[in-house]
Amino acid sequence: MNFVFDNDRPIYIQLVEQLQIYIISGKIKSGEKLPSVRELALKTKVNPNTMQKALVELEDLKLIYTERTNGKYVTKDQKLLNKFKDKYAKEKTKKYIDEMKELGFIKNEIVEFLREENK
Amino acid sequence: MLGKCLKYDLKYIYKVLIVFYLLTTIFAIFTRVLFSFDNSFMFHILALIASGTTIAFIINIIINSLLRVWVRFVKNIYGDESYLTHTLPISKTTIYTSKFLSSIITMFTSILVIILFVFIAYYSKENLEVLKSTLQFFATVMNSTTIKVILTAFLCLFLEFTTILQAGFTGILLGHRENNFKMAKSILYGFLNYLFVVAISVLIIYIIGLFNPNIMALFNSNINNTLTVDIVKTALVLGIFLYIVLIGIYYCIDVKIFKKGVNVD
Amino acid sequence: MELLECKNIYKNYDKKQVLKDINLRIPRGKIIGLLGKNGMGKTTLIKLINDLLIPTSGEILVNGKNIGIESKKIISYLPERTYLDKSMTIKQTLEYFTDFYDNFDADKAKRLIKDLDLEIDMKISKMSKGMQEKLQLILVMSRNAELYILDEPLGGVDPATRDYILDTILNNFNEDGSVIISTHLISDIERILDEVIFIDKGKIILSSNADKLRAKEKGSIDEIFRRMFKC
Repeated sequence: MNFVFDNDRPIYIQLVEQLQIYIISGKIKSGEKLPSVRELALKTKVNPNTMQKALVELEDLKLIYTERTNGKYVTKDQKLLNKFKDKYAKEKTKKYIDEMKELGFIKNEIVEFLREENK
Repeated sequence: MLGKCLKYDLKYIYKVLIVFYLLTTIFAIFTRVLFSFDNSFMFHILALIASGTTIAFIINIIINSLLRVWVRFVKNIYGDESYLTHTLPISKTTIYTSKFLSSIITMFTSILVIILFVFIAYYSKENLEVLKSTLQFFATVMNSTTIKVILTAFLCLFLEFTTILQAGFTGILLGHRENNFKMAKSILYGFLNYLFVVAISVLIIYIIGLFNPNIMALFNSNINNTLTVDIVKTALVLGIFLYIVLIGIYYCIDVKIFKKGVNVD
Repeated sequence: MELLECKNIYKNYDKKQVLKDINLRIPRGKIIGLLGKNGMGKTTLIKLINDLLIPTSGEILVNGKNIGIESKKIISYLPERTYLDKSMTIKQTLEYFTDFYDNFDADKAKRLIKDLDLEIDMKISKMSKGMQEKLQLILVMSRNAELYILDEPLGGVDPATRDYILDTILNNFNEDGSVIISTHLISDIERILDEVIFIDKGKIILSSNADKLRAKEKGSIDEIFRRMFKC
């Protein structure tokens, strides 16, 4: 895991975003146990309280769950994971299209670009 | 905790003093050995050099005992190390008492070894005879024993230098309450303190003299022959007692000042 | 009960006012940044908490009690300067800490010292300034204290050392205790802070949760600080 932060925005929001990507991309596998808050904080060099806050947020999103004594696990709910993946993909696509439109491209041109790039 | 404090204070002081003690022992032995070869001019010169060195070292021990104790105090209480000293979970009284006791112990051993060195260097039959007769002279004059004379001399020296040390401590404590020129003011206050001790001792003896004509004789230089042995003896005992009390008072004052806290740079 | 509370602290030197009406409450389980330019009163405040200065007026309470033996037992303080007796070896220094602090974990300290490839019989005076500072950080962080106060731990260190210091702080931080870090190098450290306190010209001018401040002012703590003080 490799985290890059931008000090301009709340750190915990960035942690949520980046951990989300690791989870939906399968880099942290479904059902896998997460390291402890302390270990995660050390790995990312953030305050353990901030990490804790981010994990609570992820838990609210149901992406992770706590097993009472054993620690935190990534959800096994594949449907949910796919839902998040879709949502994320849509967001990225929308962002890309918005930026291209900003530059003055029209829809067909944008599709053409994607096709070219994907060859 | 006092024991632990004392351990580190003494370690610091003796780390250097021990070296001086050893060097002085060596030169004292040299002096002794070289003087024992007679008749040779060469040896005599060497012996004189060794003897001079021994005496220089003895003076050095006195100066170093004073300085080492004071340096430890300033470094530990006001220097960089003070950041550790004052954040240790021990009371201010303990910190100061350790400094006080270490100063007394240091002076005690230093004066003791100095007397020892003098014996090592100059102990010989003839010298001993001279010494014996001198001491005997004092002893008989003082109506006392040789041992008592030596003890008194030791006690006087020890108390004198211990008082100087305490006057220095108080000077340092007062000097460092100022906002600037702390070191210079410490030295000045220390010196004034010592003058004060001497003045007050004389004053007290004088006041006692007002009620005791024998003691008053000390202050009357024109009445020559009345300065009897008894008077000198009483004065000595009084002086020793006074110095012990003064050292005690200094300790109490110093603890009081110290307890108010420090302002470290 | 608050871990640390400062009430109406003033500190004057002669007629110069160095601290003006400082009020502060430090709870448990937080890493707090005491941020300000040099000479604005950060070190003075820290020295007051550690009994190295007498406040002109005001009250400092640690666990509800005045500064004294009890407060010194639970505060572990890293000053800006090296405070070790340089004529001692590392081993003797460890013994010194073991002698005086009941909560000093000598084994932990030895482990951390070993990680730095330092010989335990080495004299402090033979070590480089940087190594002396690291050793001091190890000693301070190896105490199981409740409040760690670190004064400018990042002053003039290289990036590798900075990471080492941040790791050491994070490694030893626990929810029963708090850490106060004073610094003027904010960007290096802001990521590990829960709370920030801005101090300027002897006064506390801002005190906030770090992430809340970022969200509200739309910027990094470093930027917000620069905006405020135009330095």
